[in-house]
Amino acid sequence: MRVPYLVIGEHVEDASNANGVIRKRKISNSTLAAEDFPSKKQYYDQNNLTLERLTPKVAENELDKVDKIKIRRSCIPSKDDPPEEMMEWLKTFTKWSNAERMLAIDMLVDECEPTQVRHMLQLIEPQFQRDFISLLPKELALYVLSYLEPKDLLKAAQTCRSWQFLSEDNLLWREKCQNAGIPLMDQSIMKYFRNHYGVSPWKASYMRHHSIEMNWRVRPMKMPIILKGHDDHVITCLQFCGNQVVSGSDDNTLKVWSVITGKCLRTLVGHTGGVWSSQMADNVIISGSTDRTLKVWNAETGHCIHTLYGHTSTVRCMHLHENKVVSGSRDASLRLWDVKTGQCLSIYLGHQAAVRCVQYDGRLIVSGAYDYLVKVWDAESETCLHTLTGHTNRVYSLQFDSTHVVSGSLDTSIRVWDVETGSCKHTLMGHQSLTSGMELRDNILVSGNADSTVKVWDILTGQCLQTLSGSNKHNSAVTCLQFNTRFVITSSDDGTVKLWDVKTGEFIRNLIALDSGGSGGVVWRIRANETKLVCAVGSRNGTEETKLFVLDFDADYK
Amino acid sequence: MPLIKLQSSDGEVFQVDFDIAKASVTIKTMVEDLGLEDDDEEIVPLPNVNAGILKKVIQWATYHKDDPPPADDDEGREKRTDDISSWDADFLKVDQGTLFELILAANYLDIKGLLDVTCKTVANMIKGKTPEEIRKTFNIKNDFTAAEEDQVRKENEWCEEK
Repeated sequence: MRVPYLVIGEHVEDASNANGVIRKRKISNSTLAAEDFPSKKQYYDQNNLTLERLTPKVAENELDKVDKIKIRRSCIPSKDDPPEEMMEWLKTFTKWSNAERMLAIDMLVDECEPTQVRHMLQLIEPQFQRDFISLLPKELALYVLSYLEPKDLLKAAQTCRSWQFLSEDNLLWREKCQNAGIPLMDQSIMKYFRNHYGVSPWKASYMRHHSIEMNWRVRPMKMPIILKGHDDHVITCLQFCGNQVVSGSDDNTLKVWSVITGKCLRTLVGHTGGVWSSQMADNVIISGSTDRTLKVWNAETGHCIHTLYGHTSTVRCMHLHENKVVSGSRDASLRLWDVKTGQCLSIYLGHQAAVRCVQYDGRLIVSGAYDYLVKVWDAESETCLHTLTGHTNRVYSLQFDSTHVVSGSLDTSIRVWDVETGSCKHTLMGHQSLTSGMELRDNILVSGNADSTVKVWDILTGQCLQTLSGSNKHNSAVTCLQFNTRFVITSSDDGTVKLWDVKTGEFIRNLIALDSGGSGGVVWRIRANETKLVCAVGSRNGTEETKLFVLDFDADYK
Repeated sequence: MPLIKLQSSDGEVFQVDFDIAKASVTIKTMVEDLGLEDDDEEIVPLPNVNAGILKKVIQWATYHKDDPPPADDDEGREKRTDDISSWDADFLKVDQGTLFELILAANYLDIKGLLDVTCKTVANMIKGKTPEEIRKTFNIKNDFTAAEEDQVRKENEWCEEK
């Protein structure tokens, strides 16, 4: 029983003679540790010192001896049946004061071979670890997890059962969804996702949303559904609502398509001139034509409900609000119609040239025309409230959010106006040509231009936030665009549809690239919702047949 | 400035400036409710915090005594973990056991700043790790069956950009 004790004692003298300085430092560290655990780094340092010091000192025959002892005892060691002297040794240890124990541990470590020290490390390390998530009270564990990003939460869920349970907390994922602006997914599709992404409805919503975003951004695209129609005519306007698409063409017809089956459900025949504008809501389709009329159609039956007579030239633009539609015509007038009865409610006279674009919010009508003017009308009283002067060429595009009017012109500028005062707040300069299409949401404006670039603006400051150009830019005029909080989708006369990051302005990828691009193939119009993109493509020279592509980016949940 | 006496669970008494101690809403409320501000002899007992941890908490509160009061409503804001000051980062270079105790103490004493920074520190220990690395970091036993692990992996697959 005294043997191990003595052995330690002998070596203490050796070690402290040879390494007195180091020993002193170590002991003072260890004493501190009574109230303050030594850090892992200190711990490793100590061990490394010990190893370096010991290894060269051990002679070969000594190693042999140790090995022999090991072999002799290899059958004994186990916690259930420890050698008697070991118990005595331990008892002695427990009798010591803290300082004595610290010293004994120091000496014991010095005495150990590298493999033994490593064994100690394995024993000790877990003592310094805490399974925070499993051991903290639930609300604190969730608070820690709330600091993780979704992808780290998913990793956390895979570690063990208790982490999985907490990482799937529904409120945790609700917060993640709210931060990212993701709504709770529709009940009708929830049932498909419940088992796919665990139990939390908010988590399932987040995961589905992410999956869809990745489908847009990077994953290989599914084969598009191709809807062929309108022969070799131009598709002039496109509407996408629910699972239906309506294409209007200069072949005098409109076609209603199912984006699910890809079938042409109905062809709306009746106009005697090309269709150049359309609107759609629920079951009602409205079309405007070079035949000077508007027609109201039942989307389900394909029947023409009303033909609206009054304009004396092409109906070039229209905007539907609830049951009323405003039409703008090449006859320089605007008309307000009741869609239900087919009655003309009002006429707005004042423009000196063709009306090219119109917006209507139920109270005010804003019109842009080839007389370089933008006018704000009170729909009810038929009076012109403001004439917005400043453009020096034809006005082609308009956006109106009930506060700001934004107008795009052939003079290359875009102007932001205050609708109440009629004053011009900003003139957005930078484009080189005609701004053909714009979209405005939450004071962010995206403009597509014939100069082949797209710009993102803050209309409150008038600043250009991004220009979507660079080496992957369109090679020809931008024909159409759409954006949401993440992406901008743009189409062009170059036969491509491109996806961009709205925040960084970076090009992500081509969603469509016609083989005939550059030799006549063009994309005229695009419409997208969260999961689908509809593109109207064709050519004016016969290189590309007129058709619609439907691309699906929905998450798989079969 | 008035001093107050805080007593740890293991009986040690710390004299602390009330302006520092009131970083803890729990202590502040206790002192004010009991009218201890003018009473130097009264001791505030903190039965859930031991001396070692209380010392660290006081050290933290002393350094942060001039901080602006924490904004209580941070709901809806994106939570960051990369905004830990270098002093706090050094202060929290402790073993997991100590960090664990600090979280419990910050929660019990209701010190939002300390609770936030300790929880962020743990979150940072989890971030960017694989499940196996997380287990290693915190000495967690994988208690999934092989079939469960497979299922959990499928449920938690994350498509990366690149």
